[in-house]
Order: sequence, then C-alpha cells, then structure tokens
Amino acid sequence: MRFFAVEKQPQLSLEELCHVRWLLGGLLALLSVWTLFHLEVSIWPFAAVATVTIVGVMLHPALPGKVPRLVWRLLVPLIVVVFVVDVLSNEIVLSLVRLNTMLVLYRAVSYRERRDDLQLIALSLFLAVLTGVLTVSIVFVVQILLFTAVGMVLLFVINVVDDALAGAPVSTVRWVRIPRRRLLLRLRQAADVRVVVLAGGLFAAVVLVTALIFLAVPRFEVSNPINFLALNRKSSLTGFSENVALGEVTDIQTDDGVAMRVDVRAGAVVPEEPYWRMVALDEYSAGAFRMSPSARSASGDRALPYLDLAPMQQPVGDRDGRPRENGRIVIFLEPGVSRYLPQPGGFSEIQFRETQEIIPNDVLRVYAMREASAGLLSYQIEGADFGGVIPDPFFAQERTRAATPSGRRAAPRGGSLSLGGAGLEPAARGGVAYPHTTLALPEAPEAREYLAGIVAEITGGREVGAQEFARLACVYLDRRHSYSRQVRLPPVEGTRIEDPVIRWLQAGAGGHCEFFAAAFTLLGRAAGHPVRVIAGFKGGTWNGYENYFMVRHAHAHAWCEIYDGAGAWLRVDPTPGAGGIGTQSEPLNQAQVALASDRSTSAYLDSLRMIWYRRIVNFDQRSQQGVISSLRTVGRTARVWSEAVVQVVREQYAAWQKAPLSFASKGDILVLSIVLFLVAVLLKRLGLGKSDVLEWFQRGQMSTRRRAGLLLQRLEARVARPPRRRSWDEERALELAGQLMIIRFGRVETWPEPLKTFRAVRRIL
Amino acid sequence: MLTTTISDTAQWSGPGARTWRWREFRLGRFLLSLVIPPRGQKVLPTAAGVAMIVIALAIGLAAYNTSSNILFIAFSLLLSTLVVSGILSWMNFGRTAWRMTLQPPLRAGQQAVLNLEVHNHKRFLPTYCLNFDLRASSGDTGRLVLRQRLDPGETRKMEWAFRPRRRGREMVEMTGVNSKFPFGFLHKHFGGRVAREVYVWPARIVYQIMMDASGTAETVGETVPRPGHGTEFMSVRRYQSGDSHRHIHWKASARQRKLMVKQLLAENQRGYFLFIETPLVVWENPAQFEQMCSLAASMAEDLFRQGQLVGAVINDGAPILTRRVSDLELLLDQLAVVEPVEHFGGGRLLPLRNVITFEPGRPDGVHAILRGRKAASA
Repeated sequence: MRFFAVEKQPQLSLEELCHVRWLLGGLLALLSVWTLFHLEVSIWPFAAVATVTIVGVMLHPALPGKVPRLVWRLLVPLIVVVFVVDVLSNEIVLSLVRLNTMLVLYRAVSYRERRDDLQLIALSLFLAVLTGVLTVSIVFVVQILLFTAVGMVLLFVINVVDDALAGAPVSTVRWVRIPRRRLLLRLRQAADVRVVVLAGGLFAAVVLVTALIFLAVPRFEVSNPINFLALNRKSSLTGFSENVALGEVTDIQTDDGVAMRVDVRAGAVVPEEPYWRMVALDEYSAGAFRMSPSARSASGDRALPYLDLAPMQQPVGDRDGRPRENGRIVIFLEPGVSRYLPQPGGFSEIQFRETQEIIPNDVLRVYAMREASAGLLSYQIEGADFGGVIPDPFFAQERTRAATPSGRRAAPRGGSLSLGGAGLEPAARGGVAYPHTTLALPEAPEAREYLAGIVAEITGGREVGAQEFARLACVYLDRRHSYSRQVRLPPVEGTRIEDPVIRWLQAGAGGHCEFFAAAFTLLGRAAGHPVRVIAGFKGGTWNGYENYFMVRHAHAHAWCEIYDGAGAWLRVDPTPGAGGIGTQSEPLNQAQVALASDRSTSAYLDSLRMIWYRRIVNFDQRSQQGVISSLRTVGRTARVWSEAVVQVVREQYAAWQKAPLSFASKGDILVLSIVLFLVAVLLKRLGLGKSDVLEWFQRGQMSTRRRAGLLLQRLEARVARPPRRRSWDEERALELAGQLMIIRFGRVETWPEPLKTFRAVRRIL
Repeated sequence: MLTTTISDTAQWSGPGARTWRWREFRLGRFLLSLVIPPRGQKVLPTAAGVAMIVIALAIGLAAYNTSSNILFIAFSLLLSTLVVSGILSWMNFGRTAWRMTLQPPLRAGQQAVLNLEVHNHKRFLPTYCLNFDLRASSGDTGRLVLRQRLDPGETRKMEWAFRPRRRGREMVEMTGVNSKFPFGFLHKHFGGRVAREVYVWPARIVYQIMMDASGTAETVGETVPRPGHGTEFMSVRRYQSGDSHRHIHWKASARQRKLMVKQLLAENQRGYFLFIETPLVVWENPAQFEQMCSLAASMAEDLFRQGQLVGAVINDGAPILTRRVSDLELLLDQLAVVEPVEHFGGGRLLPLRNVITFEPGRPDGVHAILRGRKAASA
C-alpha cells in the first residue's frame, strides 16, 4: 500500500457551500425562465419580471427574509387562483407555462431546504422541456446542456451540504449576505484542477450517454401520436392569409430570415426555382385578393385531425403522360410564418410527425392548420411534383354544371364573358360563388372596358386558348411594365377609375409581383379565362454545408394560375424575368448546385439548425434503422479491412522468411536485436529492473523506497563527515535518517509522510 | 501503547485495501459487477432517485405518445444522469480503504474512542460523502460522516466515542459503508463488515491502601537479567515503532542495514505478587466479584506503575511475570474475562513473600490481603 502525499487543497466551508448552493439554484431558475423568450411575445414581460426578481434575490439573499411569513403562506393559494383564472381565459398550454414559471419563481426566491432545492430542479426541468417541446428550437440544446451542467453541480453541492449537516436543516447555517468577491476567490482556491477536469469529463460522458440512449431507445411507429403539447400562434404573416392586399407579399420580402427549410431526400428533384404554393385567392376587389367564402367551404371548412393527408387529385405526370418520379421532401416550416402549408402543388401525400388539425381545400389545393404553429412544424411530402400543372376535375364539373340552366349560379359581377365557350351569364349583385369568383372583374364599366381593350390588343381580336393567352399577356406586361418594388400610381382624379390595378395598367408604371399577378388575373378574366392568384414562395438557395434548400422570407412571391379549359390549372408567373407559363426550370446539376450554394456564415449557422431538425427533431424509426444499418456497414468494413491487413502482414512475413539470408533482406531484424540487447545491458548497468522501468512508465518517477534509499546513503555520508556549518543539526539528521530507514525498509503502515521527509532531508543536506 | 485487540483486524479494508494491478483486471467481471454488485454491496434509489425515475418514465411515456424527440432527449438525459450517477458512485468508492483502530485502554463504564482512518488511494480523484455505520456489542450505534473532500493520497481520521457497559469482550463493528454521492439519487451500500473484538478491562475503582511498606521490600537497585530502563547495556535489537531515536545504534544499524536499537538492563525494585482466586463458593455475590476484578486490576496497574508488581496468577492459570507493559496488558485482559469457577483446586504455595490475595468483605466490599492482613479495601 503506498501513500502519495499531495499538497493539501483548501476546501470550502459549510457556509460557503450554502452560498454556492443558493447561487446555483437561482442560476438554474434563470436558465429555465430564459427559455420563455423563445415563446410567444406575450409571455416575455412575465419572463423579464421573473428574471429581475430572481437575480435580485440571488444577489441579496436577505430580501426573502424581509417578506412577512403570511405573504409566503398566501403565495401558493394565490398562484393556484391565478392559474385557474388563466386557464379559463387563455390557451391551456400557455397557462401551464405560466403556472410553471410562477412556481419556479416562488421556489427560487424563497429560502430552500434540500427538498425545496429538488423541487426547484424538477420545476425548472419541466419548464425547460415544456418550452423546448413547444419551440423545437436548436437553442433548446444549448439551454438543456447548460441546465444539465448547472443542475448536476447543484445536486452535487446539495448532497455534500446535506452530508455535512448530517440531516440538520440548512436554516441552521446562519447567513444573510454573500461576499461575492471573496466567494469567487475561495472557489478559485478550492478548485482542484483534477476535479474540474473530472467534471468536464463527466459532463462529456453525460452528453455521450444521452446521445447513445437517444439513438438506442426503441422507436415505434405510433399510429396516432397525440400532439397535446402544441401552442398555436394567433398571428401569422399577413401576406400569407386569406386576405392579401397589394403590397403585403412584397412587405414580407424585406425580411431576410429563413421561412422554411426543405430537406430533399433521395428521388426528389427540386428545380432551380421551385414554386411553393401557400394560399390561392380567387376573389378580387379593389386591389385586394381574398379567398372567397364559397371556395373556402367548397370542400368543407372544418379542421380534422390528420396524420397522412392525400389530395383528391394526384399529380398529372409528364407532358407525355408518364407519371413523374416520386420524390420525397421534408419541409421544416418556421413558427408563425402562416397557417397555410407551403407545398409544391402536386404531391401524392403529406405525412405529419404528429396528428395535426388540418383544413384541406382540394378545390384550391391549399391546406391550412387551424392556427399558425408557434413551434417548428415539419412534414414530409411524398411524390412532390414541381410542374406547374395542377389537375382540377372539380372545376371542370362546376363549369359544366354552371353551363346548364339548373346548375346556374351567380355569375361574375358585370361581366358578360364567355367561359371557354360554356359562358357564364352575368348575375345580380352579390352572392358570387366559386368558381365564378375566378372570373369576377371590377364593377366599374370603365375598368371593364379598359380591360377589354387591352385583351383585344393582346389577342388581336382572335379567340385564343388559355395557354396562348397567358403567353401573350405575359409578353404584353413585360413590354409595358418593369419590375420595381416602389409603385407609383397616378391620382384617381385623372383616370376616373379607382381600381389600383387598372390605374397601374394605365400608367404603365413599374411594379412588383403582386401588381403583375393582379393585372394578369384581371386580363385573363376579361378574356374569359378563370384565373386565381397564388401567394407563397418562389426559389430559395442551397445551403452549401448541409445540402438542403433554404427558403427565406425574401423569396415571398405572388403569381397566377389560369384554367386551361381541359381540367387543369396552369401556373403563370407574369413578373418580368420569371418563368412565364407553366414552365418549370430545370433542376441544377451538382456543379451548378455547388456554384449556387450559399456558403456564408449565416448559411453555416442555419446548417446547424438543419442538422438539429434532420438528425434530432425528425429522428424516427426509419432513421434508427438507418443508424443500425450504418453501424453494420462500419463493422463489416472494419472486418474486411482488418482481414486485409492480416493477409498483407502474413504475405510479407512469408516473403521475408523465404528471402535469402543477407543483410539487405534481414538486416533490420539484426539492427533491432542489437538495439534491444544494448538497452538491456544499459538497464542492467544502471541497476534497473523490469518493475522499475514499468514503474517509470506508469508513474514517471522513481519508487518511494528507492528514493529513500538514495537519500539515506547521502545522509549517512554526511553524518559520518559532518559539515562545519553552524546550522548543522546532527540530532535532526539522525531523526531524519531514522525516518528514511523506515521508508526504505519498514512496513508502509509505519511510514511517515514520504514527500515531507524527502523535502526535509534535502533541506538538511 | 497498550494493545487490547483480540482479533487482529486493524488491517485496511475496502476497495483500496489491496494494491490494484492491471493484470488482475477482467473486463467481463468488471462489467458484470456494475450490473450485479458483488455480495454485500447494493445500490438502492433514494426517495429523490425514485422521484427522478418516475419523472423520467413519465417523460418517456409522453415522448412515445407525442413522438416528440425533445421529450426523448429529456428522457435520455435523465437516464444518462442516473447511469453516470452510478458510475460516479462506483468511482467514489474505488481505491478507498479504511480501518478501525481503538484507543486503549477500554474500561467498563468509561468512554472509549474508536479511530476510523480513511485513505484515498486514487491518484487523481478525491473521495466524497462516505458514511460509516458503527455498532458496539454493548448497544451503542453511531455514524461517522466524511464531511469534507478526501483528496488523493490523503488520510482522514475520524473518531467515534462509545461507552462499554461492562468488562469482558466487546465487539465493535462497522456494519457498512454507504454513500449517496454524487447526486443523492442512488444509495450505494458497500458491505464488507469489519469487526474488532476487544477486551474491556475492569473499571478502575477508588480503594484504600493499608499496606505497610517497611521491611517487605525486595532488593532495590540491582540489575536483573531482563530488558528495562537501567543504565547498563544488554544487547541490540531491531527497531520497533515507538522506540526512542536516541537509542538507535548507528554502527549496528549500518552493519545490519537495518535500524537497530540498544537494549538496556532493568534494575530491580520491591515487588508484590497478585494471587487472584475466583471460586464460586467464595464469590457468590456477582457485585462483589466485579468489585474484586476492578480492585485487582486497579492495584495491578498502580503497582506496575510504581515498579512494584512482580507478577500475578489467576486461579490455576500460568503465572504472569509483569516485566513489561505487554505482561500487564495480558493480566488485565485475563481479568476482563475472568469468571467465578465451580471447581478450583485451592491455593497453590507460591515461593514469594509478598503475595496479595483477595476476599469478599462482610457484608460488602472487597479486601486485598497481604500476609494475613488487609492491604487494601474497596
């Protein structure tokens, strides 16, 4: 048994440990409260007040003592009352968050015993996890890791204090003030490097074990997972709602933040500039488009829980009739963007991770949630089709029905326009219903006349099909108008027409996508073609780090869809420089993707989020099987590799054996043998055995007995020939010699402290 | 220093008692020991640990129900904290050794102190929060807590005071070592009962001396052929712990390459011999018997301290010549366990003049008799 004496490290006193415990408890509460800042803005003041209060009490622990006991007793019933009132008037999830915050605050600012500290840890954990589930933010990882680190240290300190107090309450340690500077100094003194390194290692171990458990926990395909921890956001971006006024989509473009990320899985082909449909607006009135109530209710206006959602009409396929290759994309929609789900228009199925309440509208091919999600929403789209053709048998049926007397409904206001030959008659004011809304024009006769004039100019008086008309109209708009975000309309007085789109057409002014889309819509309708406006995103950039598609708010766009008269809607983007009619930009090849990729710092940071979403948030049974498969592959590769190495070594050894005996072929072995021999001789001469060498490698120092022996020899020589200096103390020398003898020859149990003895002997020598 | 140990268990115990060697390491056994603790060891969750497990299960259930990976992360984190807690607990015990020593003498009715030494043999890591449960056969129980960090290579001494009720054999044992380190979720019990059986000497009592010292002394000042603290050189012997360094014989030490000390002859002094007879017919009253034991022990110590105790004999036992402290200890050890005997062959003829015997007083008390006269009474 050996004793390795080390320098005595100062340790924190019980009072100092109590200080640390108090501060750590406050810090833990702060960490959990700060997660609220990722939630609704409405909860921020609540979080700010909690933060200030906790920090104040942390730094001035005497404050809780000044609050009367009665107040402390009344606080918990008060919290319960507030919670009940909150539940009755607000969303239950937010009420739960507020209740949790109040409890954390209560525990953080009151004096705590061991049980209270454990309650604080549990409540803080609940709050951090709850907000993490609601926001699904990558910041959750940082926060939960910090929380874990602080929580572990706090638990450790609680345990140490508890043992030191031997069951007595913490309140027996009297302290009212934390000498912060002194405490910091003491912490620095008491911090043992080894313990700090150990703590760091432990933290790494916790993270590693967490990752392993996370990967290894069996995942089941739960048929109907309940999304009971979901928080809905009341507001979303105005440009992506049922009512879009001119300029609202362009307003969104001023924000450069990422609106959604698209993970492109195997088999999916994303074109250079994909269109992401969100809302389809069929009704127009005085510079504003909206989704008409009849269109909204055409396929039911009720939200139903969906896990898989398939449209009534499947993608139409290629022009030559072959079905398009099914591709899978996963969309990660940022919180609060819209309650309408971005999708390519054509797809075979949308799969959600958890059941979502969706209002599907197969008439307009838009899918809305009840309210915009306050957290990140991810969903997978199977069979994504980015072609600009959307089949709509419903519209064809409606058109046919409208053509028959019994099926006639209200016709577009003031229009005696034909509908692909079927012709809808003008009807009385009001009550225009879908699909007639897609033909509605401004009521002013001047406006209709003006539009009819332009249509005549575009078509040259001929009757042209929808596709041809769209092409001609796009050319017309492109020739007359330039793209500009700033739109200057002529005054109303000069034109006698109030409609801003007509005035814009008349002025030949520059405009943004919404004006082009609105103008094309009116022109198309004036020409008798049903047209609707679509708002969503167009384009995006490839992330150069993680190879996914980033769609920013700046990619917000508006375009049109024109009914081709043959059961499908064609995408028409009349904005100058855009794709035009139903065309689909070709997918980029790898080189082009590499060139077009965003490799900026912000893209890098965004790629971290994507890793988080891809690897963590979307980790499921399929991913788990992928991990297992990868591990098997790695194992197989390692086995093959090791077998190959063994084989090579064997072959080389066999070749070496067969080689003739010469220095060139076997000289290396000879040299190695000589070196080993010389080393052995040297060790022998030095009197070092195998154990010494091993010990040297293990401990990097000589054995304690050997050191004692060497020092004893020197001390005996000095005792035999004492020095002449006055400070020489023979008695002390003899005493030390005795101690050295004990260390050299005695049983370990009888040793004095070796390092101290050695130091004393060196001093006397 | 007096030694009163019956069983020599002052050896180091615990995981660090044996020098750890790599070649003895077996990974399979080690892993198995983490899952199935060795005999006597057990790991139980504390109340906080149970609460944590329940919370973890609840979060896990919610994770499965919602398919939320955030909840799966929280679930994994809680489980990993438990796992790491177990590993840390194991590391905390690792290479820590402890041993019990008693501060003699132990006397009936007097407070005794048990020293517990804890040593951390780890090279880098400290040891924290160990609790040692102790119990004495007389009924006392206690717990010693390692309140502060035990740094690597450091030894900490802790004391536990208890009070043996009566003379005899006393079993002092460490029933277990346990710890809630590091987070208080798991209570690790390290079995390995360590016990020490010690003699509890008869209680010291106040007695009245009536001995007449005149004319009874043996020859004083002459050297006798036994080791002692005289002035004449007798021999050299090996150094023993406790020997004065002034007695180290350096030349002999250098020759032998061992530490040797000088042994001196003792000088003779006046002496008495205690003859302790315990026939049941004489010592019918247990209280008087205990009093006799106490009187005999007290007189033996006092006479030895004055250098006037030649030896003693108990009943038919072999005579004990009290030349050194260990002889006195042997005598007191025998007095600790002596009981009234049914069959006793009667007093033997001792070839000494100063023989002190004991007899019960009437109606109570005990007398020491020297040459037919009372030498002391209690």
